[in-house]
Amino acid sequence: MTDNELIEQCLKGDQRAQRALFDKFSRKMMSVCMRYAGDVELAEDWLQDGFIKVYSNLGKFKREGSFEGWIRRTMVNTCLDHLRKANRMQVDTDISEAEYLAGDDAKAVSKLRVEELMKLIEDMPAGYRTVFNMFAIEGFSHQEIAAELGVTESTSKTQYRKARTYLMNIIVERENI
Amino acid sequence: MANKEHNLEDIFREAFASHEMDVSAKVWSGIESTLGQAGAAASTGAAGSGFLAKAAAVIGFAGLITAATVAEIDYHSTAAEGEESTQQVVEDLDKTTSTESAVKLSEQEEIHVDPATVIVTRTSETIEGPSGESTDVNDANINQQTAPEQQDGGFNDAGAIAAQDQVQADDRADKVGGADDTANDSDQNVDDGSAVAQGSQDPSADRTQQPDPAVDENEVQASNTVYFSHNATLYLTPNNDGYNDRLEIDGYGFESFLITVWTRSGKEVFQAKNLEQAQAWDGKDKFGNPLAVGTYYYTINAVGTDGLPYKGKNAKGSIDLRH
Repeated sequence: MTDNELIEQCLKGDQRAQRALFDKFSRKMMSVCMRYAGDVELAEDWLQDGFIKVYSNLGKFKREGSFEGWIRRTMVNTCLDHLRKANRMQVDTDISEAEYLAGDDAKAVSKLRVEELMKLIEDMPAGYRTVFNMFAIEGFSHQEIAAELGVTESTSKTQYRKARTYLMNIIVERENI
Repeated sequence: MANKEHNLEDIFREAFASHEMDVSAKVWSGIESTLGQAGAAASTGAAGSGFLAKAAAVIGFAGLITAATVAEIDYHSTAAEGEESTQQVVEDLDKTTSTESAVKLSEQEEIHVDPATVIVTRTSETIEGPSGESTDVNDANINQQTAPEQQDGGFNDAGAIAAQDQVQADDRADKVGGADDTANDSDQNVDDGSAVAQGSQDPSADRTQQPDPAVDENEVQASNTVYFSHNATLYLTPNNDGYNDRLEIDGYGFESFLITVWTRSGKEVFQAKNLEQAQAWDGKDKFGNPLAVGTYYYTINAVGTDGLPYKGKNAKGSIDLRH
């Protein structure tokens, strides 16, 4: 069944189609939610909520583009809504900016498996994690992040730089052990 | 240049593009019970709001494209301070990204054309061989439709490849479709895509022949409905270990799509007319033989749902093939 057929069936309320859609995308979307939640229980809650939004907004999806891209965006928005509600979006200001122990060591990063990268994101302070996900992985602009998080653009940039330094230091430290 | 692109962000983005995690059964049970309660109301209520969704989507996509470009430029500015051209682009971008209105988006897209052009220029510089060949490749990157014809003369086997192009692409679509039940959809996309792409490439040919900046700014509009994300600036390691084995590309907001991959010397080695085909690419040539390790170049020709060509920064770039 194509995505379009799947969407049609879901819009008609076909439960098997709804289940098929969930089976097709839920594992990837769990990864998205996990990156924002940093916790399995929380991520599953948000995933559930995100899929309910997907089903109820399905009629708004324009068929020209990638369905997965649209679902992914819906998931990210759901995660941000939850973070906003829980007031976990505040930028951490109490963490002083670490200095670079070493320069960018992309080689060390590229050696890491995706599960290890996920662990790094899970272990990040929440304020770093959100900005890092939004900027580095989802590709939001600092302008958009600022609007979503209710901070200034320059705060978003500073926060991102700190998050990046924090991450790079951990990776380089591990590499040196 | 290649090293610069293997930065932290690219590695994370690429790693998570297709990452999956286990989901416990209770998630579906929760959804099922909620859907049961909502029932028919949700399915009938959602139908009519297409226009609003599109308007919101357009704003979203354009923002994302801007984000990708700003991200790139930011790192260049910290990594390579004092580079004049980079500095200039940063200034330009700062000017445009300070505007919030979606009406301004076409202007932002115009600015994006500049960094993309810089990449093309650099690409042609790195190509070894006679200068005539370099020019061909440069043209190829700008205008795909004429490029294969220009190169036929240079490569004995290229003519045959070009002739079989359509057939091979269709075969591939069938293969991909057969594998995951999307055969009808893929074929549909191929047909639509080629029709629109043909129509849209003539004006683009005119533009490259008249590189008058004043004309460009007033008449050339870039699509602001298209969003692409892909790992094509990174690398492929087609060894079936589950990591980076295939081209990871995703996107939405377009009516037609065409990705072409070229060797350093400008020989076309792969082409896909829809995302499914592109996503299936595992570093093999048109005959199914693994390509040699090295750097390849890609161009994406897409037309947005607004009928305008996609000119995002990641519309062209390099792919590193490793084994």
